[in-house]
Amino acid sequence: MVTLRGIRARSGQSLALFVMGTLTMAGCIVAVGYSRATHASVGSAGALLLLAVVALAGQGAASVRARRSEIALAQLRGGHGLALLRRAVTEPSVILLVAAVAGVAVGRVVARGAVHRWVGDDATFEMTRAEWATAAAVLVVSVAVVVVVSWHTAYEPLTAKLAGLDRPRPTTTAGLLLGLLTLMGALVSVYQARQLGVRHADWVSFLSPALVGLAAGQIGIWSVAILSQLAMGFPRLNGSLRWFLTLRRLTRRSDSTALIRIVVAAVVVAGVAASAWVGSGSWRDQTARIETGGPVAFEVPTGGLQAYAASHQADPHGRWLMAISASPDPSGGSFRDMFVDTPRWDRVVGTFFSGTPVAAVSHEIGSLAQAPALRPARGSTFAVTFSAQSVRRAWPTARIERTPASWQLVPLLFTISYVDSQGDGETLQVPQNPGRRPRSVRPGGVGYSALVPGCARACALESVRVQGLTHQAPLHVTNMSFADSQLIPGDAADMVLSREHTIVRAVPSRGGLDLWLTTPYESRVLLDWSDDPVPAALVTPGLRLERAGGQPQAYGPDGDPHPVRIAGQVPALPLLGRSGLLLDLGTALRGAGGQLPDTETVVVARADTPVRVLHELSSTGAVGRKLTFGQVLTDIDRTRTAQGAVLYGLIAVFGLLIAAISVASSTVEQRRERRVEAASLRVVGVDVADVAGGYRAEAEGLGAAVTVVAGVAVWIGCRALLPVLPLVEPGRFGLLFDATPRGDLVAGLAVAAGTFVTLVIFLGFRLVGRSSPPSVLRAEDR
Amino acid sequence: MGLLELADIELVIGARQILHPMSLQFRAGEVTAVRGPSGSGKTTLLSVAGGLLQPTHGATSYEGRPLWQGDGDPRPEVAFILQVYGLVPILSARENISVALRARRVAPEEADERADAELARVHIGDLGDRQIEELSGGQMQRVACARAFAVDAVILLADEPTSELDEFNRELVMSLLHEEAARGAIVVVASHDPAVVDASDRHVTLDEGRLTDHVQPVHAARRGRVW
Repeated sequence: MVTLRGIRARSGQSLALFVMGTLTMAGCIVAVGYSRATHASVGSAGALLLLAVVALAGQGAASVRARRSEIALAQLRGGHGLALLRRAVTEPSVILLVAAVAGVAVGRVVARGAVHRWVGDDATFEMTRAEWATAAAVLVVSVAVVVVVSWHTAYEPLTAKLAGLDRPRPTTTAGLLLGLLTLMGALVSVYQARQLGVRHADWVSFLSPALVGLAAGQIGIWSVAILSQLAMGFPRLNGSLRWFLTLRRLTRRSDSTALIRIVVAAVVVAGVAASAWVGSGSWRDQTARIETGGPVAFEVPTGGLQAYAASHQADPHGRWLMAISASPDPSGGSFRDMFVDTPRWDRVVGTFFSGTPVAAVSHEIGSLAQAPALRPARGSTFAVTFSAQSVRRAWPTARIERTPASWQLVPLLFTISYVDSQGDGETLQVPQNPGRRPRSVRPGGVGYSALVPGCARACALESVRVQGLTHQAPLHVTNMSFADSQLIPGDAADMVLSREHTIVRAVPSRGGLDLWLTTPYESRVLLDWSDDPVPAALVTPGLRLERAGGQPQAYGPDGDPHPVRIAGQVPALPLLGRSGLLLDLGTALRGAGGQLPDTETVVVARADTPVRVLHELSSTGAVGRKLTFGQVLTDIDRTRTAQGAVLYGLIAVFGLLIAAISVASSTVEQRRERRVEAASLRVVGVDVADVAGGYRAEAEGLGAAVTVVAGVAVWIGCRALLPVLPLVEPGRFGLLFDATPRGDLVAGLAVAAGTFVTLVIFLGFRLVGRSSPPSVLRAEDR
Repeated sequence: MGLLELADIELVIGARQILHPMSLQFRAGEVTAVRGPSGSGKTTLLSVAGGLLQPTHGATSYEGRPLWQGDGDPRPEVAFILQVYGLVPILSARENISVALRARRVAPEEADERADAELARVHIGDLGDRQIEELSGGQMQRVACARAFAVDAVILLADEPTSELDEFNRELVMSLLHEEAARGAIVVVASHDPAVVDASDRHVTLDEGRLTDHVQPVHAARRGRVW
C-alpha cells in the first residue's frame, strides 16, 4: 500500500519510468525476435539493448534520487540499513517489473506483426529463450542499478539526503571517470569494429553505435558546460537577465544537461540504424533496377541474337524495345560480358537508372556502336549461282595428288557458318552432295541451293567459305543469297570479301563476283565480317582484361576473344552489377558463332510501350517470361538481406522513441525543482516573462547543442560504422552497399531531435514557470 | 506616510478557513510583529499582505493601490524575507541579491556592487561567490535578508527572519529591520520569537487564523471582529 501510494504521489515520474520500461523492453523483444526470424545475428540488436539498459537504468536511478527526502524522513523516524534500502528499492523495482511485463506483451505483438508483415505471411513469431533472456537481462541490469543507487542513497549521511533536494548537482569525480571511460569505450569499439570488418563483426561491433552515441553525448555535456562558462564572461550575454539565468543553470546544474547524453546516444543509434535502413532500401531499389535491366523486361531464352532480332522486328525504329544480353566470362574471371543494343539505350531506358551507379552508362554509351550492325536473316535457303566457260569448269573435279599414293576429286564446295534461331552455331555445306552434277539454271550457268535449317525466326550468317579447283578459269558468281539476305550482288554491305587474294581471289565484276581458287583442297573464307574497327567497350573499375599483343581482349557472345578498345569506365552495369564489360550487341553479334551457355538475355521495354508493339514482340516467339521492376523488387524483398534491413528500421524507430521519452522524462523529473526556482525568482521581482525567457533560452541552447552534437555524431557514426555493419549481402557481382552517410537524413534527424528537445523543454518549463507563483514557496505548501 | 491596509480580508482554501475575517493597517516607519504559534496563519497573512495570495474576501492595498496583481507576483515595492529563504539554487550568494536588483532595472555592475555591500551589512561579505549549497542555514537566511534590504522596498515582509540565527546576528538583523523602517519602509515581521516581538514597535497576535491580540486598536471594519 505504501508503495502504491508512493507511485500515485509521484505519478508523473512513475509514469515516465513505466513508459520507458515498457518501450525499452518492447524494443528489445522486437529487435531480438525480428533478427532471429530473419536469421540475422542477434547481435544486430546490441546497440538498442545497450541504449535501453542505459536509458532505463538512468530513469530508475532518477526515480530513487527523487525520493531522497522521503528516505531521509524514514531515517529520521528510526529506519536504518536494510529497511531504508528496501524502502528505496521497492517502488522503482515494482514499476520496472510491471513495465517489463507490459513491454514483453507489447513487444510480442509488435514482433509478431513485423515478422508477418516483412518476413512473410506464413512466418510466425513465438517467444523463445533468446527473447526471455533478453527481457530478463534488461530487467536485472535496470534493477541492479536501482539497487546500487538505492544503497548509496540509503547509506549516505542524513544531511546529504536532506540537502540534495533543490540544489545543483555538479559533476562528481566518479561521473567524470565514467564519462572518460565511455569515451575510451567508444574509441576502442570503433577501432575494433573497423579492424574486424563486416564478415567478422562481433558484439563489440554491434554495440559501437550506442557507445559512440553515449560518448558523443558526454562530449556534448562537457561542451555545453564549458561554452556556458565562457559565455558568462561576455557582458552582452550576461546583461540579459534570461541569459544570465540560463548560462548559470547550464553551467551549474548537471541535471539540466544530462538529457543530452541519452538523447544524443538514442539519436546516434537511430541515425546509424536509419541510415542503414534507408541505404538498404536504396540498395534494394537500385539492385532491382539493375537486375530488371529496364522498366519491363522479357526473358529471351534463346540468346542475344534472338532478342536483337525480335526487338528490331517489333520496333524497327528503336523507340520502345532494346535487347540486353549478359554472358559469363569463359575465362573464369571475376566479371561477365554485357551486350546492349546501344543505339536504343537513351530512348528505351530513359531515366530508369537515374540515381543508380548504372546511370553513368548513359554518358558513355553513345560511342560504342561504331561498326555496321548485324542484320538478322530469316528464311530457309542458301543459294549460289554462277557461270563459267563450261559446265565442266563450273563443276570442277580434278585429281589432286594429296599423297604420292592417292588421288581424289576436289569439288567446288561452299561452307556456310551461321547462328540459328536457337542461338547455336551451325554449318552448312553446299552442294550437300558434291558428287552430283549441279542443276543448270541457265545456259552456261550453274546453281547450287540448300535448305538452311533453324533459320525461320532469325539467324545470323557468320561466314561463307569456299574450296575447289577453279584456278584454270574464274567463276563468275552472279547470285548468292542466305535466307532473306542477298549477299552477291549484295545488300549485305556489312560482309566483306576475303582479302586472302593469293589463295582466294574474288573480284567484283559485272554485278557479280569473279572467283579464283588457287589451293583447291583447302576451305578458305570468301565472305566474312570485317575485323575493323576494334569494338569499344565500357568497363567497371578494377577490371583486369586479358591482353594479346598489348591489346585488351574481350569475349564475344560466342566466347571467342576479340581485341577491344576501352572507351570509358562506369561504376556498374545493368544485369551484371559492379563487375563486367559492356559492348554494343549489334557489333558483338557480327560473326559470333552462337552463344555461351548460361547467357542471360532480355528484351527491355519502356514502361509506356504501346500494346501493339508488345504484341508484335510476343508474336516473334522469341520472348518468354515477363519481368517487371516490381516483381524483381518483390523477389529481393524475400531475401534475408532485405528482411534484415527492416530490423534497422525498427531499431531506428525504437531509438527515436527512447530519445523522445528521455526528453519528456527529464522535464518531468525537473518539474518540482523548476517550480521552486521559478517561484524564488518571481518572489524577488523577476518578471514571469524573464523566467519563461530564461527557459526558452535554455531550451534553445540545449536544442542547438543536441542538433550539433547529434548531427556530428550521427555523421561520424555512419562514416565509421556503416561500412562494417553486416547490412546487405551483395553477392559476387552485386551492387555494393553505399555506406556514405546521407546528409539529408543526418541533418533531418539532428534538426528534428534538436527541435523536439527545444519544444518539449520550452513548453514544459514555460508552463512550470508560469504556473509557479511565489506562493508555492509558502511553508504550508512544501 | 504610506499605509498598508488589509481591509476585511478572509482566506478560505477548500473547506479550510485559513484566515478569519480581519482588518489591519501597517504604517511606514514602524516594525510590526505578527506573532502566534505554528500554524496560526502568520506566513499566510504575510503572503496576503504582500500580494502573493488573493484573499477570498476583502482586499489589500498600499496607498489605495491593490497589492494583488492577479498573477501572484508581488509588486516591485514589496520585498520578502521567506521562512524557506527562497534563494535560487543556481545562483551564488551575490547573484541571488543582484538578480533582485536587476529585476528592478539596476545595471549588472551596480547590482553586483550593491549586492556585495548588502552582504557586508549582514557580515557575510566574503561569501559572495559561494554557491547556495555551500552556505549554512544561518548564512542562507542572512543572504535572504540582504536581498530584501538591497531593493529599498517600501513594504518589507519578513517571515521568521531570525529562526536560524545566533543572538548576535538576530540583533543585527533586527537592527537592520529597524533601519529599513527608519528609512520609511513598512516592516512586518512574523515570528514566534519573543525577543523579536519585544524588539518590534508593535505587534498583532494570531491564533488559528484569528486575530487575538494587538498593542493598539486600528479602525473599525464592516464585518467580523474589529480591531
